[in-house]
Amino acid sequence: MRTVIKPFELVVPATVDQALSLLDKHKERAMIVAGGTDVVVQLVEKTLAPEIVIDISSIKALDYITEKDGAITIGALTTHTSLERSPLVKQKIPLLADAARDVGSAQIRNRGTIGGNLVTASPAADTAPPLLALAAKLKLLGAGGERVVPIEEFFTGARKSVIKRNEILTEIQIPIPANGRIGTRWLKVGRRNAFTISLVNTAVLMSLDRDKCRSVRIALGAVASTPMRARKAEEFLKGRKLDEATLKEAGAIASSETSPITDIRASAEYRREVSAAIVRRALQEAGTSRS
Amino acid sequence: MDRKIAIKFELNGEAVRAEVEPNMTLVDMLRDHNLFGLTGTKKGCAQGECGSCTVLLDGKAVNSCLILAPQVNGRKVMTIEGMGTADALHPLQQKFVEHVAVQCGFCASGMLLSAKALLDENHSPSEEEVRTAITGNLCRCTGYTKITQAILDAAEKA
Repeated sequence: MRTVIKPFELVVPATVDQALSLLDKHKERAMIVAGGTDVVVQLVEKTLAPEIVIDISSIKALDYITEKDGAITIGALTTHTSLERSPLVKQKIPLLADAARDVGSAQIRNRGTIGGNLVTASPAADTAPPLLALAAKLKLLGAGGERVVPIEEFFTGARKSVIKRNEILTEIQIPIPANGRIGTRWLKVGRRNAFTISLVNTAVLMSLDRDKCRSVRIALGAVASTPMRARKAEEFLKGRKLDEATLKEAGAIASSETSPITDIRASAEYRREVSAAIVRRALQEAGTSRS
Repeated sequence: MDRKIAIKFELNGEAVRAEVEPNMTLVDMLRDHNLFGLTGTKKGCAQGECGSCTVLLDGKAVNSCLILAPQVNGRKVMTIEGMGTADALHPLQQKFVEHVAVQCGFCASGMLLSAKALLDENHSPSEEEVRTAITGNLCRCTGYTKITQAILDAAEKA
């Protein structure tokens, strides 16, 4: 039986500028599709019913991973598979490669893009916590020009972000962590070991001074209406030795900062408990890793 | 307004054309008896969660239920029909038969194409790599053991 999607007109711009003109021309009647792994599902489920769909998936100019001036710059159409395999990402910002590897399945990763993952803005998005821990910046392009938004300011609610209707996310900029000894860890908990939506996920980036935490960024996903930072836990850990008691307390503090919901996948209570556990574990493993 | 789009692409090694409405998914276009009639590709969930609709797009495994038909314009698509025939089984298909890795058969098309994508890239995968490669293909019958063994066996023989 045919899958029923409400009819729409498809346009396929060859360049970003053409895509922007189309967005300006058609306004709220139009929306963008890239890899389609979120958008097509929503078209099928009828949560989205645009009159015009702008297919940007062939714009090669937005598919790149480069290193420039101490930062990794990633085009928004870079697939999760590309991120997972990129020698540059694996070497300099492995947190992102680890998370990309855990997105969906190989089939999803071969189509899904980092830009799409961010703009869909699911609270459980797997690429968001690493980017929060890495203090990434997002480049948004509109007819009026370009703006750069720090990722902490990008998400505004479940499936909501600051991106405007006539803007396209073009690039993700990630400063390469370079403050002495850095330890990172990505952890994801789902209902099964693979091909699963995160119940709780975490990305930790720690700057170490021998056995002490100099500073740390702890990001969590699927435990609030947006991906979040556990800032109280981060503050608590500054300058502290990473012994068992400290790690346990840091996990508990991080958990107290979450505001998870109970949904079809897990209860809020479970998510609170698991946040404490995986933050503790991620901190421990980041603290003992070598970079 | 006629929304139909004329597309040209390569399907199982052959240059083909079609005129499709953009709200048609790739899996529907492939299976439609008025278009390509290739029903080897299955439709299990229509939302990218089961992998039975897996095809190869430019050599990479993808869920064809999540691709709008016009998005294959200018690309190469391979379905299970392009992998082998009853008279000339692909080595992977042969191994699936030998290992009894098929029960109801519904996951098999997608499973074989995911396996093919893996072996085309990685000639001697570890068991872990095989299992990772097929995580996007759900099987309700076999428990994956014989499927994994068939793929490992096919890799060795290649």
